[in-house]
Amino acid sequence: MSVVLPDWYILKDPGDITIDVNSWYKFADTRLERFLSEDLWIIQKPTWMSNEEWIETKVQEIGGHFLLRLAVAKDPRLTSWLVEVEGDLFEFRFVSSINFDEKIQVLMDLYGEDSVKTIDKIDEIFGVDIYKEFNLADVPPRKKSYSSGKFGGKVKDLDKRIAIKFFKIPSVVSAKKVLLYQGWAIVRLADIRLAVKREFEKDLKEVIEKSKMIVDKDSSLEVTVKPIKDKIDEIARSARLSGDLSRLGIDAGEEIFTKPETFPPCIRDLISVLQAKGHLSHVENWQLGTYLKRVGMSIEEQYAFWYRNSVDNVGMSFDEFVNRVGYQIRHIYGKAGGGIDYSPPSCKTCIDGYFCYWAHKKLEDLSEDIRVGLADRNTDVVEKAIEDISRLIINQRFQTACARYFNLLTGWRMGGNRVNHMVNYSRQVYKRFHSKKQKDGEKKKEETEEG
Amino acid sequence: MKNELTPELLAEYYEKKFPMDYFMSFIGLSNFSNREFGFVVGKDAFVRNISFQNTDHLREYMINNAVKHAYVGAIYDTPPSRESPIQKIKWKGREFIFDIDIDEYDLVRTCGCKGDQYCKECWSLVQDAAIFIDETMRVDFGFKDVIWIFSGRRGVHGWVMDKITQDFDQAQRVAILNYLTFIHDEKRTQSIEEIPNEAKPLRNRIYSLVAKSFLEKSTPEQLKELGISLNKAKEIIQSVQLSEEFDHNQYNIIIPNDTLVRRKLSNEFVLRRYPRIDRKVTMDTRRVSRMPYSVHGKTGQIAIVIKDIRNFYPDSAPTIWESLM
Repeated sequence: MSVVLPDWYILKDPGDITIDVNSWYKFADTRLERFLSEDLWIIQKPTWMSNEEWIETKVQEIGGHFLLRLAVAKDPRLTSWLVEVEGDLFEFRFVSSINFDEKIQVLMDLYGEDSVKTIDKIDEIFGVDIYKEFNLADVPPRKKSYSSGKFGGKVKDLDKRIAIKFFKIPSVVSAKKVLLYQGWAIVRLADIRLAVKREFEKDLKEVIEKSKMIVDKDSSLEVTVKPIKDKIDEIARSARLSGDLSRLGIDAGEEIFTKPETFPPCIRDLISVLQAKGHLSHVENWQLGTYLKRVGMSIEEQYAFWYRNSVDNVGMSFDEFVNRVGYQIRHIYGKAGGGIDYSPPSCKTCIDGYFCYWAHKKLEDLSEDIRVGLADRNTDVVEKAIEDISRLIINQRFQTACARYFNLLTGWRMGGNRVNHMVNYSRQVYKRFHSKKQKDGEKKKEETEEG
Repeated sequence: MKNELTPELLAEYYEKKFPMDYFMSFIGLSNFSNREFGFVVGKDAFVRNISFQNTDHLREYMINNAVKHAYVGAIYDTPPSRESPIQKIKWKGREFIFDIDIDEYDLVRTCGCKGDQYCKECWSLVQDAAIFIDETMRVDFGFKDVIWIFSGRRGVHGWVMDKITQDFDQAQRVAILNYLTFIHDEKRTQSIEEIPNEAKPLRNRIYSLVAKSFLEKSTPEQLKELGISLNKAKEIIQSVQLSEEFDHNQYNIIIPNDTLVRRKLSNEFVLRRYPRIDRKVTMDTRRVSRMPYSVHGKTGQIAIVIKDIRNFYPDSAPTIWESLM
C-alpha cells in the first residue's frame, strides 16, 4: 500500500516546489502568524477560498515551514520553540482531520508502513474478530472527556482503533491503555494522540538537524534567513507569560523571590549549585535570571544576588561587577542587546535544552533530596511519592513527576497533572501557602464549619 | 569432603561438563568478542568489563580462575576491557530477561519461609509468576522463544530470545515491565493498581490464572473477610477446584456482582499471588545476568534450563557434585 500523505502534514516530501525569493519573508511571516492564531489552523479549503488561493496557501505552508527550519537550525533554543509550536499545530490537525485514512497514512509515515495496520487487517492476518473476541463494545467511549478538552468539539475519530507495533509506542503500553495481541497494540486514537505528537516532534527535530547541514554548507543562507530568525527570537521570547506580577496571582506588595519555598525544584537546585560552586552554565544562568525577573526581582536586586553568589566577583568591587559581568542581567531585562523583555523558558524547553530537575538529575540523588527535604513528613507517604516519581521519570514523564512532587508538597493537584512552566509552579505554591485570598477563603471555611 | 565447592572442582566442571554449545545457543556467535562477561573469582572479587576473542578463551578463563559465579552482559561496539570499560563504549544490544526471586514475596508468604528459604507452598508463587509472564510474552507481545532458567538458588530467569528484543532500549523494556506491573512499591506500601479495562487479554489472564490460583488455595473464612458470605465462599472455592479450564468468564459468573467485593477480592489476589519481578534486571540494559549452565557459587547448583516450570522444584536441579560423579 503506497502511502498518500495529507497536504497539512508538514513532514511530507513536498516534491518540486518553487518559491520566489521575493516571497520568502512573506511566507515565513504567514507561517509564524499561523502559530499565533488558532483561527488559522485550517486543514481544509474554506468555502470562500478559490482553488488557486488554496493551492497558493499550501505552497506557502510548505515554503514558510522550510524557511523557519533554516532560520532556527543553528540555535537549539529556537529549534525547541519551533518544534513545540509545530507540534501543537500538528496535534490539532491530526485530531481534527475528518479523514480517518489520512490519519492512518500519517501514522504509517511516522512509525513505518509495516508497523501500522487497520483492525480489519489484523483480523485478516490472525483469523480473529478482535472486537468480538475481546468484547470491545463494553469499553466506555473516550470522546466525552475530550470534547471539553484542548480542542473542543473539533476532535474526530478518537474512539476509533488502530493497530501499531507495541514497541513503537512504549509510553502507551506502559500506561496499559492498549489491548495487546501478538505484538500489536490495539489502541484508540485518543490514547496515542500524545505519543504521536512526540513522534512527530522527534522526526521534525531530525529534519531540522538536516537543515542545519544545509545552512552550514552555504554561509550566505544564514545571512538571508537572519531577519526571519530575529523575528522568531522575538516571538519565542515574548509569547509566553508576559505581564506583571498581578497577572501571576501574587498579592500586591509581595516579593515572591524572597520566598524560596515557592521556587520549583529546578530553580532551587540551580541556586544551591550556584551557591556551592559559584557558577552555572550559560543557559542555566539564563534560566535562573529570567525566572527571578519574572517573580519580581528588580535588576538591581539581581546584580546583588549574582554578586553575592558568583565567583566572577573575585577581586572585583560591586560597581566593577555590574559593569563587566552585569551585561547578561541587563540583557534579560531588555536593557542590553535586542531590548526584548525576555521570559523564562517553558518546562518542555528546559527538558530539551536548559535544566529540568527531573530530567537531568540522577534518580538516586533526587530521591535522597526528597527524603531529606521532607524528613518531617510521613515516611510512607514520601516513599510512595518517590516510587511514583521514579516510575514517571523512567517513563520520561518529567512534567508529571514535577506535578506529583507538587502534590506531595502542597496536597493540591496541578491542573492537567503536569507542570508546564516554572513560574506557574511558583504561582500555585504561592496560592497554596501565602495568598491572602486563599487564606481568607480557608479562614471563612473554618468559621462556617465551626458555626 | 563432598559438599565443599573447591577451585579444583569448579575448574573441572568448566573443563569437562560446562556445555559451551548449549550456552552459545543462548547468546549466539555473532558479536561474541564484543560481549561483556563478569565473574566472581578468588576471594569473592567481582570482576566485570571482560571480553573474549572466542569461546576457547572464555572456557580457559573459567577453568584457570575457577570462577565461583559467571555472568553474561550486553554487546558493545568494541570489546569491553579495563581500558575500554562499558561506561565508555557504545551499547549495542542485550537479551530481554526477567528475574523472579522467592524473597520478593517475603511480605506475603504465609508458610513461614523467609529470604532464601522456600517450600513447595511458596515456590508455587515463582511457578505461577513464570507461567503468567510466559503466556503474556507469547500471547500479548507475540514473542515466540521464551526460555526459563533456574538461577541456582532461589529463583528463575526468563530469557526472551526473539532477536528483536536485543535492540530494545530502556524505555521499551520499561514499557513491557510496566504493562506487567500491578503492585507498586513492593517492599513497602504494596499499593495495588486497578485492573485496566482496555488491556483485555491481560485482564482475562489475571482472572484465569492469578484469581484461580488464589481462590483454589483459599479457605471460606478468608473469602468471608473480603465480604463474601460463607456459603457463597464455599461454593466459589469448590467450583474453582473442580474446574479444569477456569477462565475469566467463569470468574465473572461465580463472583458476586458487587463492585466493592470485587475490588477487595482483586486487590487481595493481586497482592498475594501476582508476579513480582526484579525490575532492575529487566530494565538495566548494561546488567550482567547469570550464565545459563554455570555453577552457583554458594549452592553448587547448576543454572539449568527448566523444561516444565510447573513440575520444577529447586531441589531437583543438578549440583556440580552430581554432574562430576
